[in-house]
Amino acid sequence: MPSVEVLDLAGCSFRAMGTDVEVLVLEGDDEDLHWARAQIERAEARWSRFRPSSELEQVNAQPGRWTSVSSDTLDLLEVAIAAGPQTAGAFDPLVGGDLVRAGYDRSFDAVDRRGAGVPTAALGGHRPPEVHLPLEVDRSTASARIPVGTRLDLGGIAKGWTADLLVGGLLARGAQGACVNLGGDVAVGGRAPHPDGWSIEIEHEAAAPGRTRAAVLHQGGVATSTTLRRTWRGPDGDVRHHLLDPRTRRSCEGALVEATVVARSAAEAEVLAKVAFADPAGFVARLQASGAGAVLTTGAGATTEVGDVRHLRRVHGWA
Amino acid sequence: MTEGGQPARLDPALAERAAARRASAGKRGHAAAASRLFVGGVALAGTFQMVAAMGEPVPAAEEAALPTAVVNGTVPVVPTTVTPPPAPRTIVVVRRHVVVAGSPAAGSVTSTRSAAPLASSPAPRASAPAPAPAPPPPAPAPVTKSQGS
Repeated sequence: MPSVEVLDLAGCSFRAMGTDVEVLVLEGDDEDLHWARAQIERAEARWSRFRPSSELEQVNAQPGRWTSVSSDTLDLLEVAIAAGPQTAGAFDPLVGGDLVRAGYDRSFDAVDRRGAGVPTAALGGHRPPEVHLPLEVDRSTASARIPVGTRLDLGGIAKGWTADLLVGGLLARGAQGACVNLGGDVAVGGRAPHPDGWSIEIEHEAAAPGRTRAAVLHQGGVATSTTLRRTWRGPDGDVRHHLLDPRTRRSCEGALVEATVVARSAAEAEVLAKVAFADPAGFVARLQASGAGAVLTTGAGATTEVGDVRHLRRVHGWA
Repeated sequence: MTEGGQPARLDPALAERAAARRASAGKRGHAAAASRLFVGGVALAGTFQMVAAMGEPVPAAEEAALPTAVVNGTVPVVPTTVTPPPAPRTIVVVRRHVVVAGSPAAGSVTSTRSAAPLASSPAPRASAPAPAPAPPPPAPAPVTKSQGS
């Protein structure tokens, strides 16, 4: 006789960290969703660029000086610091000041899309020598320090890191499976609602209409970065977006407009998705070194799968 | 683990293979191997049934390498038992949307049972290998979306 197993998949969605959030728990408890939202709000309170009281802004307010931070912030900063050399500098959390000068100096909903930031000629350029000092953390004093002339921006990696932490936390609370989506940075773990795994639709804004893909995995992370969202114009009319090249300190240029990465964690996927824009030439090697896979989309709508693409499936519109 | 402790009349070579298999396949593989051994003429099929019901039977390649039965320490060429295939299992996923208020955390919770997508477990694996590479299976219904940010 066939047996039937009924699984409860409870989810909630809300706005936080400047983006759309979705949390799903398999065979969990509604209180798990409460807990998850509280954790996300706490993460936003700690790591937002737009809250003067956040730990991140406390560090930004005192460049060159050690500032006390929580252990969670130390953990996140260590992940961000490690990502720098791992990506040959294509990922740099110290571009916060460049984002401010480009015009992204407030929650994106409030950015003037028609003329924000300094004139184009004032963007980028070489950093003064002292700025090449590293971001530092000191566990013994639970403090962090940024070089003079820089500002931290942990936006993307904070979302991925938070998603990873929450999945682990939800499983520790007793849920059989969990999926956390923070604005496209998705972490999954535990038992999935389908035997094949958690299925995450990849939204291709620039790809051929009607063609869709999904990432299907039991554990790990997915992140999508795009230059098609969070765009605005500078005072000279030039189009700017939030994905900065740490070397030029300006918005990344090139044919690539979307990058989705499937990796061992959402934080890693987030970093690699940024590298796809900042260092296209070195991206594939970085991807393969991480055992990750990616879908890259150009402005013309062409898509390319690179790296380990076992988790990527074509869903609709493919011959 | 067999009933009553040590397996009966395992010859040294088979014992060595079994030990190696236990080391490589772990507890689940051990259980499956034990399920195929005869002890006093009784096949311990129950253990295997339990493993199969967990949805993770031993991979086919490993299974094929196992002796199908042991009589007086020899491995007959023709299998003497047939393990029945695991019963098909259907998984029904009931998706609920829960409204979770922001802080303070003691906000109200309402729950809506809005959709009931179905997800069936894969068909029981055939003993013979697939004749040709099959196209990748369709993706399960997405539960969320990785939109660009």
